[in-house]
Amino acid sequence: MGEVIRPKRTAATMGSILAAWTGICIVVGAYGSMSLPIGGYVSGFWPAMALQAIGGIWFGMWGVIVAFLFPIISDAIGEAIPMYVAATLIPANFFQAWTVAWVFRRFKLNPELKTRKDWLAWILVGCILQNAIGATLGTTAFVLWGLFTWEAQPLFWAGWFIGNTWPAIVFGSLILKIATPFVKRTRVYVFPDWW
Amino acid sequence: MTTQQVVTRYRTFFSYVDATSLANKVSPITKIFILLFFNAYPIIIDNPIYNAMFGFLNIILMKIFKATLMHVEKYFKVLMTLALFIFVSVIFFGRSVAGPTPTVIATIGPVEVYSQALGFGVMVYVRMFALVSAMLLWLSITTTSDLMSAFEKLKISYVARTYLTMAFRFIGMFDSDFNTIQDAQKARGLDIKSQPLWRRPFVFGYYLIPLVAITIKKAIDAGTTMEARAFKAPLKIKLLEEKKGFKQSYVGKYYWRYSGKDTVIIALLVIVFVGLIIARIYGLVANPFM
Repeated sequence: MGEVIRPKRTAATMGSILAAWTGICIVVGAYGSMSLPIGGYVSGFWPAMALQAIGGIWFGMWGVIVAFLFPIISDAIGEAIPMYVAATLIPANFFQAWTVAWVFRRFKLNPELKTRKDWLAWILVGCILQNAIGATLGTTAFVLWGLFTWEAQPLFWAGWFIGNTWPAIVFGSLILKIATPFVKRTRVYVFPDWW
Repeated sequence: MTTQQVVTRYRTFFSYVDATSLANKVSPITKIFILLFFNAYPIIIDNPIYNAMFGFLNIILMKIFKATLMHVEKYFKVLMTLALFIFVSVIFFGRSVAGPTPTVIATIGPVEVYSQALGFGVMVYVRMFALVSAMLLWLSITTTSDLMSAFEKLKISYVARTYLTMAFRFIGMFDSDFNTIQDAQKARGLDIKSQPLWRRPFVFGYYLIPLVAITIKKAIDAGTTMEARAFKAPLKIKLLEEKKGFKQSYVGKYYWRYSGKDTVIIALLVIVFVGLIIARIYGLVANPFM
């Protein structure tokens, strides 16, 4: 008793969540980037990061795919990063969603953030570590594109890292805590599976 | 009594276009080329003057294509805020973008202002304007059926192109939902625009959480509707259409259009692209302010 039985996942529902999550991430990514840019290309406030990380936890690989697809469009609208440059940010955006999704699955943590272990993993990996990886890969791609110099990289790295980390801590924690009990009753909730 | 003229309009990803618009005569595949070229232009060009001209050209094209500007105006208004942030950044943190031999043009207390940093700020800001206006133009003149039929010609599989076009369609929907949430919060006494700039990111959560709930509900509804209409596919997505058993879809048949004018436009885009690459190699499009 007490076992939650969910209807079988289908391509229609998972495809819809893939499309809808991409849509919301583009809108939130564009609005966020526009509200606090750090000298262009990097935003000091990127709330889409919260959705990127949560998407990986809730929707598994569907969320991870969204995480690296949506910035190709939202970066063009919100941060003036052409699609070609945004495509080279795929590794950065991949790790910004996959890392915490893997940790939550590997260590059987609860996305509702019920224990201290859940919170620690979310804050240390979901908010800090994966953004540090993302900021390093992303700003390196910018330097290789010639958008700014190696000397300017630490400034942009800090902009990326801070701009992603604090919305993840504030909004990501809030959404995970409030919305996970609701989302886990739906067909689109993939955790603890990957697909 | 006055007679009112009824004008048929098509819903695009971000806006509406008149049925009589030239945008509806352009081939969907030409629109894909426009997207690719318009994304390449601002990154090839460093000269802010050329990028500014390109940005204004996009706005003129929006007018020519009779796209409703009402839906995209807010993005242009935000560009004013962007200018403030970019110039504050390059004034206070300008040293790292000013190059090895910077020229000090002013001193504000302990902060030295470099001409190269300001030049960088101008370049970034105008590039931003050019690219944002290009993307808004494309999103304002492209419909779901345009993208669907173009992807079909490019042999993208039915499942992949359905998800991709749905994602584009959801942008406009969530953009409207975001505005609805803003109005609803305003009715409850929360207006993000009346908040000081530093507080705006903190109140963003009041918009984000309802938007997440709406997104999941809409995704589940859309999935159920697709199932009701017999949409069936394996969970593993194939990106390209398999050659055997390929059938032209209704959208691909009735929404596809292509004429000699499209060949001319595509050829022009390719020639200009090659020309710009050559100009960049010879330093003809460099930023004169750095």
